Amino acid sequence: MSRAERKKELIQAAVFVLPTLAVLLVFTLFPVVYAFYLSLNKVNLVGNVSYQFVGFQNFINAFNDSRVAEALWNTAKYVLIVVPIQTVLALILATVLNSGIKFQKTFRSLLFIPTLTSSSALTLIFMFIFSLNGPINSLLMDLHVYTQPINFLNDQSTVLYAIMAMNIWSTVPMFMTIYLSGLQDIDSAMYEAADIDGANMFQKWFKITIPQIAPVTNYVVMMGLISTFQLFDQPYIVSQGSGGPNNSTLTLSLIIYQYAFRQFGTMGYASAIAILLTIVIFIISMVFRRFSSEDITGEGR
Amino acid sequence: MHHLKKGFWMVAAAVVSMLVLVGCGNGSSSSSGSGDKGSNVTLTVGFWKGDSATESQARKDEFKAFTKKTGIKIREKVYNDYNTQLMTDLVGGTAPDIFYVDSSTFPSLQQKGVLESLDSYMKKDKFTSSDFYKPTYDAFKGTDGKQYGVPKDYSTLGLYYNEALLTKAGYKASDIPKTDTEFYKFLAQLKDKLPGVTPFVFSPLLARQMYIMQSTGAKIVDSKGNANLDDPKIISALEPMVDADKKGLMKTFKEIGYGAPQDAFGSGKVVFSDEGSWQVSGLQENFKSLKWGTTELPSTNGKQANMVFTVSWSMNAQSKHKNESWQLINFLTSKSEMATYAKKASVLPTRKSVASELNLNDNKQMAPFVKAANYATPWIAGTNLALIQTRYENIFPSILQGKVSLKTGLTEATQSANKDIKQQGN
Repeated sequence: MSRAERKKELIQAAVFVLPTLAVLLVFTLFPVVYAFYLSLNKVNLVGNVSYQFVGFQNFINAFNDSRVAEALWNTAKYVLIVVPIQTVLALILATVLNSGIKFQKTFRSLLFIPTLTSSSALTLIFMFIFSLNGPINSLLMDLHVYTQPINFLNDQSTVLYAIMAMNIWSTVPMFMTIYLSGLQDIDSAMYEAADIDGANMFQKWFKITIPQIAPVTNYVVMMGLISTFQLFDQPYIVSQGSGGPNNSTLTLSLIIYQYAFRQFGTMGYASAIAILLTIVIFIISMVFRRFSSEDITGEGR
Repeated sequence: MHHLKKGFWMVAAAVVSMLVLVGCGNGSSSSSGSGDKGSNVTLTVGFWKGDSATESQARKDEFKAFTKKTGIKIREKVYNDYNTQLMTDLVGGTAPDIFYVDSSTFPSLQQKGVLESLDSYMKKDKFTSSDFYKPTYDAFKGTDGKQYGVPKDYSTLGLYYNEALLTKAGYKASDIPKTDTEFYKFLAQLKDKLPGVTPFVFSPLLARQMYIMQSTGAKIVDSKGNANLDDPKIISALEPMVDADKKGLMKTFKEIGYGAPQDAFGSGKVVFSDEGSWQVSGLQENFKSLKWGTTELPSTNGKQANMVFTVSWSMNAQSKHKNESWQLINFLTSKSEMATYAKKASVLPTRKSVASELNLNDNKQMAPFVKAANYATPWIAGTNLALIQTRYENIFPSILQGKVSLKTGLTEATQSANKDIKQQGN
């Protein structure tokens, strides 16, 4: 290729990239930079707009804020319980649906429905299911697990767990689908070889499927971590934005929302907490990447 | 040559796509600019939907009548999450010309300079305020003494009772006690006589408990706007209520497993509910077979007390059509239009003359609410109310469940709120 042609191609490439780049700049990069700028200021955006530079004061305040600590603890608890369960459940379901059982396409479509439904609609349905007179209470009482109905959503000790159940139920199908496509990539020759060696179903699952699907697992865990850290809509709907009862549903995203939109003049503080949340997610993702291996043992590919 | 041609088309396609993107931005601003000229004005009006379909219809009819009379068109902007959406609109400079302002958010909005003072327009049009219920009109008076909105309607709380359950327990509506101490005893009797029935359902909200909290002489917010929820007087005022909840005499709608107080009362398993007049149309629409009545709330600590919630039509200080906006506010809050609207939407008019024109004082269902307007506490408490409210509503359910004591809970909520207020310096 001549130099002139090369140059022309570069220009072509630039022109093609330009629209996307513009969108990215306006809707992603600019907000990120602006949020960082806001986090260093005491900001009033409503009415008489004013910026007052306060350095890292917003961050110092956030570190000393017991509500932020509580929200971080709630979020961490949520992540630690939800991510492992949803990953394992998704893999098991995907394996079952990949095993050639009858009606597997029907099951796949049925299981995928929750992911297609809007999460606020799902939350309302779940609020009914978990309500005092709802199906879960009547079922468990009919099974004589307990005699007095539990008010899952109004009790500070149970409400977060109810939200966890909701979230696992609605996100598992999505990850299951990702796993399904991963499973179909595994060479069937490996299973055949294992069959000849006399391996049983569990051995095959643990020795072939899980190692082979490690890259997909990495992706699923990473996406799970990011989405659970950003938990917002369920606590917002269940607590009507207050994070109650007694801060039991207060998550970092909810606190950010409260400072950004419920109160005037705290946009800077909200941005500071948002930056902190980003840093937390970033660090955890990096640590996770460091300790997870993308190498597949054996000869799958 | 061939390559050149290909390249040209690619550049052309990219340029066109960019122009389309840019064009979107330009298009909207030029169309709103052209609205400035002549009488072809379109006003944007922001509001939330309200409590009933009839209310929405009544509002629409008013807008239509206004357009017919003046030729000024109206674009409706419905807010589903008013606080969040209005805040975003104000920040982005896309807020409506006229919008609803709830009394509780008024101090913040006014002090941020978001609202336009109506004084000069009122003077020009000789707008008289004496006809309005004073608490509702003064709710929208700024710290500078100027008027920043005209109350469109209001509501107070009333005591809804289930007739069938009262009869079943052997009582009549006239047996309902008029004082709080007697009323708690009455609830205990009802609980004994009606097993499986909740005597009283309420909402664990600051807006519903504020008048009780202030009935012993303290204010929920001090003169500097700080939270004062842990004042011993406030704690003692709330104690009977918390005790009654623990004894099962009264329960929040959430505690008995409902999504809204109206659903709890409508279920027919609740004798009393303290709700606003907005529940009247809701019950009529959704629970047609339920037989119920309303009466005034029992007195609190020896005094008649209640809350009054009011919403104004206010003008955006950034509006480009201020004269037209005032025309609309003046139209909507005029005697004749308020009467039409109040009748259709079954809301309470803020003009006394309209109330008497509609014979509301003789209306069996509405009279208790109208009476309370004379002594009710307005739902206003400084610029930090939203923050204090969030903290209270966060802790109160746990207090009722006995997970935290009333004193500890309110002290923590107050300290947490005040720390925030100090830090953010609102």
